[in-house]
Order: sequence, then C-alpha cells, then structure tokens
Amino acid sequence: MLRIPSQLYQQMIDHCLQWYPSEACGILSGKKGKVEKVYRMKNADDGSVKGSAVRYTMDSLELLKVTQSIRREEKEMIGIFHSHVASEPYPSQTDINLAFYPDAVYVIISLKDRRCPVARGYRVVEKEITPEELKVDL
Amino acid sequence: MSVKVRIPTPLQKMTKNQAEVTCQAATVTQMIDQLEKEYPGFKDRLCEKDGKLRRFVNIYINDEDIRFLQGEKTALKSGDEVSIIPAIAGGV
Repeated sequence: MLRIPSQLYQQMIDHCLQWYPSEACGILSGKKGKVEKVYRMKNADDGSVKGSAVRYTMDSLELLKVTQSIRREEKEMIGIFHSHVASEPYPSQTDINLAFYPDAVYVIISLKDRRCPVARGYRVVEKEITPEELKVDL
Repeated sequence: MSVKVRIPTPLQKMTKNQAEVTCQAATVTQMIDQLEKEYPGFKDRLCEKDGKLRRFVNIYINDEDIRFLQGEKTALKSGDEVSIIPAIAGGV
C-alpha cells in the first residue's frame, strides 16, 4: 500500500492537469510506503518543451538532481507517477517494458474525464503487474 | 583512479545492498568492467551485447552526462562521483 496525504495527492493531480493535453510525470519520495514529497518533473520526451500526449521521459539531468535530493534527505523513491490523458489508469505495454524500478509503486492518473481524475497504483516486477492500493490520508 | 559509484536501487541487489561502491578505473568502460568483475551480471544490466550503453541507462560523472562527454571512453579522475540512473519513461 502507498499512503499519500491528500494535499500531496492534490499536487500530483494538479501537475497532471497542468501538463494536459501532454502526459505529465513525477516522483514521490518518502519512507515506509508513506509519501512525504512530490517532485513535479518535466516530460522531456522528444526534447520538446511541452512533452507528448502519448509518451513521457523524465529529463535525465532533472532526474539526477531529484535522486541527489532524495538521498540528501535520507528518503527513498517510493513512487513514480505519470498521466494517461485519454486512456484507463492501467500500465501500457510501453510502461511495462520501461519499468526499471521494481521497488517503486507506479502511479497512473487517468485524465479521460478531467473533472474526475482517477489514480491507480501498481508494482511492475519483471514485466509482471500487481495492483498496489493507494490510500489518500485526509 | 579511485572513483565513487552511486548504485541505483534496482541494481543494489547485485552490489550486496550497497548504495555506493568505490572502483579503480581510468575510464567509464574500465569502471563497468571492474564492476562486472566484482558483481557478475552487472555489465549486462548497463550495456547491450556489443558493449554500448543501453539507451535507457544514464551515467553521470559528477553532474555531466557521459553522452555529452566521450561516452564510455570518458576519462575518470580520482575523486569523481559516478551516478548510474536508469531512465524513467513510458507512454500509452
């Protein structure tokens, strides 16, 4: 289970809405399955400023900096999130093929209905998907 | 040259859960070979069969991406900090 305070959950959703109609992405840091910080990342796919509606790639230098920040704060990268702008919150084949972090929960936010974003969590280990409960703490 | 190598979480099982290891190497290629010697199978995770760095693996020397330096041939200096960071990417 991944627990996320409602304020941080909202930050994650806001970031996804801000990047719409492109896919958004970000990192959740914390400890023991509890999110303590949301890193809103750039979608650097294709090197364009505003990313893509069908792909996301975190900017690699930004990713290095976030990794360093998480280490300095003695936290862990416990979640990786991205949005699906027109499809269900379920990992695509590309998501599965490129899931290199088996210890993180992959959170997918569907903006199929932008008035009602839906977030779901998964572990992806050696291309096997297991749902992981997301609990929003009020 | 003694360099510090930051190991990403997904590869720490191979380095006996160490997040950081030191390595004696003059280039990135030598560093990868050295890591392979210490931790068999490590190179496979970073490189394709022809020895080229996998597309979704980023290696930084301090804050410089080796792709913008001389790639795997980039020289290392004593005290350099090397970070290995698998990319985070996906899509529909």
